[in-house]
Amino acid sequence: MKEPLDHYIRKCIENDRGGQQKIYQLFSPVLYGLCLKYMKNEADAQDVFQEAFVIAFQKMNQYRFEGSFEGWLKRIFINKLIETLNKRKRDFLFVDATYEEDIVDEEEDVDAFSLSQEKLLECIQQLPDQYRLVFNLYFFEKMKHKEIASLLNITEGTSKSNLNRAKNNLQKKILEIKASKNI
Amino acid sequence: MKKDDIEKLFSSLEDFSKTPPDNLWSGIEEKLDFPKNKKRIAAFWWPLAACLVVGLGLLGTFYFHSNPENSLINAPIEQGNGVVNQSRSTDSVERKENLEKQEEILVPNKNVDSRITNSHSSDKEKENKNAVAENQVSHSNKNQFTSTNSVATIGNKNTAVLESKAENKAPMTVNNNNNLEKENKLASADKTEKEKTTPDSKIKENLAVTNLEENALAALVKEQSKKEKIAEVEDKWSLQVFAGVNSSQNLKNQKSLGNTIESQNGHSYGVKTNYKLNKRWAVSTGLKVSELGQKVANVSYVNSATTLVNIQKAPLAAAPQERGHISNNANYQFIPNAGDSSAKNMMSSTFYETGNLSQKVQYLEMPMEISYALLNKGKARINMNTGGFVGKVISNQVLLNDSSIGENSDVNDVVFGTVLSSTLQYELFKKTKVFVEPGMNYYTQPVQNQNFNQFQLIFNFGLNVSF
Repeated sequence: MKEPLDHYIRKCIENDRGGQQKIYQLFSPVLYGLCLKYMKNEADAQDVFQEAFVIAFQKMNQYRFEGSFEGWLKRIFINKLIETLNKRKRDFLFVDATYEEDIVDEEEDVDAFSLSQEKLLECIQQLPDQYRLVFNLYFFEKMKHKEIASLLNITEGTSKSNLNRAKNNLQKKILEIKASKNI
Repeated sequence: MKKDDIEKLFSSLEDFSKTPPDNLWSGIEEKLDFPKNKKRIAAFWWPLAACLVVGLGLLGTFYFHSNPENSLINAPIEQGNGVVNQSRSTDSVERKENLEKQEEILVPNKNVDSRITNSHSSDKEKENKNAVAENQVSHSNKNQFTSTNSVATIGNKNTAVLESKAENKAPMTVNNNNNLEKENKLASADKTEKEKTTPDSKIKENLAVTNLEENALAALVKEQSKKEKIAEVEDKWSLQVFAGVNSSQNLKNQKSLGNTIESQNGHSYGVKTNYKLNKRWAVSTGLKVSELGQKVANVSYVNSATTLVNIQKAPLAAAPQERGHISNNANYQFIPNAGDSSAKNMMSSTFYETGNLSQKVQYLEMPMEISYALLNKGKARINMNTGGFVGKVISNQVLLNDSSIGENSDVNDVVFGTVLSSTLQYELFKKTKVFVEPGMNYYTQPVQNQNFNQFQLIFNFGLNVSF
């Protein structure tokens, strides 16, 4: 069943451009979407996307044909994304490890409120790097705080704090959008 | 708005995908055709590191195997056996009586001091290392080529929604209304895409079928990567056992007894434990035995035990060390080699002998070092280390013509110093590395009231075991 994909992977291992292009066509939308979620803007996402794909092709011979190939590719991309964000550290905000349960459960009427994916993506991209990183790893990659802490070399408390603040920021942005829509 | 609402709202981005601009593929192709300069730089580093190791090794081999007798020394001031101007002696009555006797004793030394030397002078990331713990969510029915304009909807509070908190690994489901909306949109969008990429969608279908099998394997991979992670954390500690050679250097061009102090070779050995603070930084401490020393060639001395001379009557010079109090052995009086002949003439050196003086102090040291990994690639690692140490004297001796005559005077029992070194490490087995460590130590005042070598070049070899 996996043969066509395996075939293209083998082609990639042989540095066959056709095989590489096929793999690119198959997985680029998901992986490009992944980069967009982690990076601040599309230009940054494109840079990492290209670099990570090059790394993936160069390391294709390390894929053991076990487990999900998409998962394997995603890991390479996420590692590259983290590495890039760590190098930049431009607006990394390391909040202290105090876990603050400071989201206010406002009982507002949220009926029939909807946002496009682009708008949601924009909200995520506006988060500071560290909040966005933790939010993505926790929410989309389903990683636990312990795993995030180990991966990013921070404490579990910091991971929790960053996630909480990310959610707070997102909540504020969404309420702003909602308010502007109501006007 | 509740916290859960945010999660629901953003859950629509979980499978977010977007077709990248066409020019990105050409950029990737370009990079694949022309690998980065980084690789070239890396390729440049290896021969450089290898040359450095070989060079230092050769230097060490030649230097430490050279004949110590051929060390660079000044031409002896006194020719023959040190007999100078016997007739000008002012208090030579007793000496004259013993002249013949003395000459007989000194004759064997004649050739020893006439040597003039001309010899040498004296140092991946594992691809998944930080593996994102594979939390592979099967994206069945995911449409990777579309859904850019799909809409996430929340608000119908009565609709059952499964929360997608991270602790809950269950795949997220969206409310029924959303599904219907999505399906309609996806279906229409799919149609156009399918026309373009029919073979690809077949592969997609195949992927979906094999998802279950893949998930099981993915779990295994996850376990494995976890184990690797744990192993990585456990490898924060390492133990180093090392031994090496060292050379105490006179970088300040100091003199003792009027002669230039020369280098002295010694050896060192010890153990160190190392703790990795992170990928680059580490701290280490341990215990080490090291030897500091110096040589002074062609020193004139009087041995009262053999000459029967009252050394209290020997002429005194200005500096304390020039008074000859180098050793605690009261039988030996070292005579300074004054620059001008008149001073020498004042001394009756009829009874003086000359020899090579060697001073050694051995320390038990406890270093405290911090190191930074300049290169950490594959099996190789290059560190720069710096720090300080405290040392306690465990052995102290003065040798004259290679025979021990006692201990050095005024040696500080405890000494402090600084160290600067570089470690070139290569992973031999999984947890075992070999390393060479060239470097330099500086000792602060090892001896009082006399000049003593303070710089020490070191070259250690050793094994590093991680645990």
